[in-house]
Amino acid sequence: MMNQKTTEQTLLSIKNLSTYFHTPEGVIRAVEGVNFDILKGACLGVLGESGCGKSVTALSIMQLIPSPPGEISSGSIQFAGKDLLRFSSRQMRSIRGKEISMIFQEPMTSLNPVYTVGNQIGETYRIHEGLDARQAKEKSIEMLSLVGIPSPQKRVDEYPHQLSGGMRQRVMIAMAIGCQPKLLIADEPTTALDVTIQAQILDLMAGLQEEMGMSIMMITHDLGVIAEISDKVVVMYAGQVVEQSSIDELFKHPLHPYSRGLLNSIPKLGDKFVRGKQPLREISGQVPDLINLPSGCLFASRCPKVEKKCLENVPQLIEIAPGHDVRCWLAG
Amino acid sequence: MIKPALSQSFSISSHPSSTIRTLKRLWHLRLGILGSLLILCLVTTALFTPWLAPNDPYTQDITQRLLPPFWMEGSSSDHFLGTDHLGRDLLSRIMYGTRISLVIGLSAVVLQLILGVGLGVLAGYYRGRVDSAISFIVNAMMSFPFILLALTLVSVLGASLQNIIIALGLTGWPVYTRVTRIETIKLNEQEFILAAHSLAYSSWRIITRHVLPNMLPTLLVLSTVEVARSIIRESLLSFLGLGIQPPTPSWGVMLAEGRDYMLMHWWLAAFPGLAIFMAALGINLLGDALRDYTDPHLRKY
Amino acid sequence: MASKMTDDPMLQVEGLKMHFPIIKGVVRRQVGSVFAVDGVNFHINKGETLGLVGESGCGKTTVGRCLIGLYRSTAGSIIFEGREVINQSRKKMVTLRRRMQMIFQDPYSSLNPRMRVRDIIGEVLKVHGLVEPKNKTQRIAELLDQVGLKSDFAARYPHEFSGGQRQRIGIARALAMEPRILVADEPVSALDVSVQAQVINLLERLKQDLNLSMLMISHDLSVVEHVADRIAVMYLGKIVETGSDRDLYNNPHHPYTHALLEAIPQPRAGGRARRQSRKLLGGDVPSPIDPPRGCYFHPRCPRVEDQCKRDNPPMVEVSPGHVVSCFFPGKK
Repeated sequence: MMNQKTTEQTLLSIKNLSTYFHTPEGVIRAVEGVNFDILKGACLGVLGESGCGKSVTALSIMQLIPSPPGEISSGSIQFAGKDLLRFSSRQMRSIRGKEISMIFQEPMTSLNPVYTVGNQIGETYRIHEGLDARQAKEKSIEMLSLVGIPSPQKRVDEYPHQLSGGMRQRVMIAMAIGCQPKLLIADEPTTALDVTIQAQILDLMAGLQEEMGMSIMMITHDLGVIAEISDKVVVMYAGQVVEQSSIDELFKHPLHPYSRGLLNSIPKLGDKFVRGKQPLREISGQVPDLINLPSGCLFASRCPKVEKKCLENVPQLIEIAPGHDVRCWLAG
Repeated sequence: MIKPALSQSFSISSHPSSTIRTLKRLWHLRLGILGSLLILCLVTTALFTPWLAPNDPYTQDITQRLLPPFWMEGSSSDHFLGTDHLGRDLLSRIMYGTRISLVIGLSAVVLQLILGVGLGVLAGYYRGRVDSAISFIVNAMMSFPFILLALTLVSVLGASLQNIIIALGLTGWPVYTRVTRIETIKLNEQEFILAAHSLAYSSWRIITRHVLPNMLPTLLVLSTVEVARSIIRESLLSFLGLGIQPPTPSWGVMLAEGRDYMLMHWWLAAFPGLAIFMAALGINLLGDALRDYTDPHLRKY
Repeated sequence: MASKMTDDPMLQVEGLKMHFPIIKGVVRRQVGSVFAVDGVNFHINKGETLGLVGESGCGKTTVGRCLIGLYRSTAGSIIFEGREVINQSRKKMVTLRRRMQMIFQDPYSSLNPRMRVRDIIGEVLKVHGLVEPKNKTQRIAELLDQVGLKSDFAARYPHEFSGGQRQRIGIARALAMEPRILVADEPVSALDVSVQAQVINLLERLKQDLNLSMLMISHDLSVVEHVADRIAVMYLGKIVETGSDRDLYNNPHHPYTHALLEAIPQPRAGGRARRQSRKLLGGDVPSPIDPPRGCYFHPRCPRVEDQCKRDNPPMVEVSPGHVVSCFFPGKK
């Protein structure tokens, strides 16, 4: 997929990653044969609905899959030339928070309510850079002002509950980027926030990405958020990558029927006045059961254009146009 | 506003590995069966004691006093578990004691439930001043040592089976109120309670059909714990001489009587103690199993 | 659509206030109030959908709950089908409000987990004597059919359904009351993207078929704009702008409406450029316990002047039916 020239630019390369969860009801194939790369300094959007495997992919990179029941059953995760799956848990701890950081959806539950903000940001410095308490606090204040928190000297001694949702997410980001990670994984970082605050956070993330030359993996279900921040996008469905392209290409020429269905199913601001009011185009049915996956294409049961071969054979992810891969028998 | 995406799909943490889970379920089932068996023994004994008991629990025979249980030297085939200091048959007395313990345990809990749940739901549902008043009483009651309260009540009312039940009921309800109040407040924030209000259901209906059924698992567990605890507390009161009065065979009375002979004739205290332990264990195990059974989420398993 | 709409107000709300007392201490002294809704006026015509949009904490949910009678409002009047519903005896209120029903946000908590679907819906019919007992089963089947569910689902428990299906059950329960107005409080925000369209279309279809009026409460302006005929924008307990969907989209006069429209990420190509060029609204929403003096929006307003910090802005009708609460409406 990637030629030799671009590999030097590649920060993270996931090859054929599968993560399963073993439950009494059967094996949940949460992630199945996922491939993608994240380039240095770029932002990759991972788009999908709940249960599509986007969060499990992220947790697999961090190796935070609870095991048992979870298990990374195959694949490789190359980060800056090293295979993370071969790392010991101690080696992984030195990567987490320093080289790769992660922020989550719920800024309230991701912060520990009994410690001050400064204490929690400073912790990273004490662990990874061996700073003492006073230095760590100074560094925390610096980070707080970097993520745009007003009067950081005052805020550093406050507790999470004293901050608004947007402020908390800023604190989370400050914690995550403290050690200047090469990769920031953001799992629905703005979903719990109001739109005006979301806009602030997206700007902040994009700004930091540029200033620090950091790569971002942006996981979201929100097509709008993906459009505003990412360069490339990976669309996931039922544990698989179904489409992969540059961001503008996806919106201009979506090829997979699922991507197309998603784009058509959401109301778009102002569309009503351009085209007249029409009912939204629904995607019928539901996501397949990840334990009893159908044979053939996983989207077949919901696909408006389904054919016989879709039900029988599994389509592969194929490059249809330069830099545009689709997993569909009928694309191209 | 928006649910975390991961928890909607399949929550990772709630899926332990298949072997562990199967083992856990089997273990659970076993404990449930064990609990049911223990309770079955208890109830059968209580119901059919007059026919099952080998001897009369009150007949004294000084010549046969302090006989050891069957496996020890000097035991008598008439007295399976031996005899006490007055020569009464220990097994028969324990069997008769089952009746008293069960009656006390169940009745006390019913009384506690009526008082505790009623007040708790009122406090949690109406909040405001009602809540403040009830919570104040609960806190006052809970900061008072149980034994002091129960002893006072029994000494004022007089020591009888009925009064012990009343004493245990009147002292035990605050736990229920506390739990019920919190549960009610939590449930009140759930949208189906809001929906019930918006559908103009009466408060009575909302409380009885929507609030209480959703507390059932919690109340069930709590009640079983309290049945067991009430049995133990009765023993304690009897042990202190303010409960069931001798010669009526209550486990507590027997424990108290056996105390004086602990060193040489340990079985006099050990067997009633074992009976208390088995009863409490059985009730607790059954309670756990019942809680799982009544949860509709788990019913399909 | 438009032919069915008449200028006959189904619901008229005036000066609605909801102040929640903050009570502290053993002696239960009131130490302050949360000004959740602070003087709100609007109306909904027959067969019309009014969209109520605003960010979290702006009081939009409280407005809905006051209408339904979940909260006893502090002041104001609610006239429904020509009759005042506030301060009536309980019995009278029940009959008056029966025809105003709510769709809740969270399909995971809005159904009693211990009741089967037939009991959830059947209870409504029984309590209010809406059908003969012998026709109950048939009516339940009818209602389920109306929301697109099979009648044999009636014997199941809520946890056996997906989020979208649960939301349908909630809608069926509301329809059992034979409402004239549906108050939908964030009916799709807890659902997956591909399922949201199904529920939105269902609500639209029901509204048409049953000639209902609707109040659509949401933080998502795209959804609101899609379904609503008119839109009211709330900020910190007040409506700052009301107008037709078209006026609000094409010609927003309040700086907050403007900022909201700007901040919503668009699922279109060229998102990055759009994000970089937009003007951001800074700061956070002030606390409704201690709202700022003058115009509540002035601390974040890009066109703030001295007057805004002193006085409450008047309601200005900038064009027929388009009302703005601002000293400088429409100024860029």
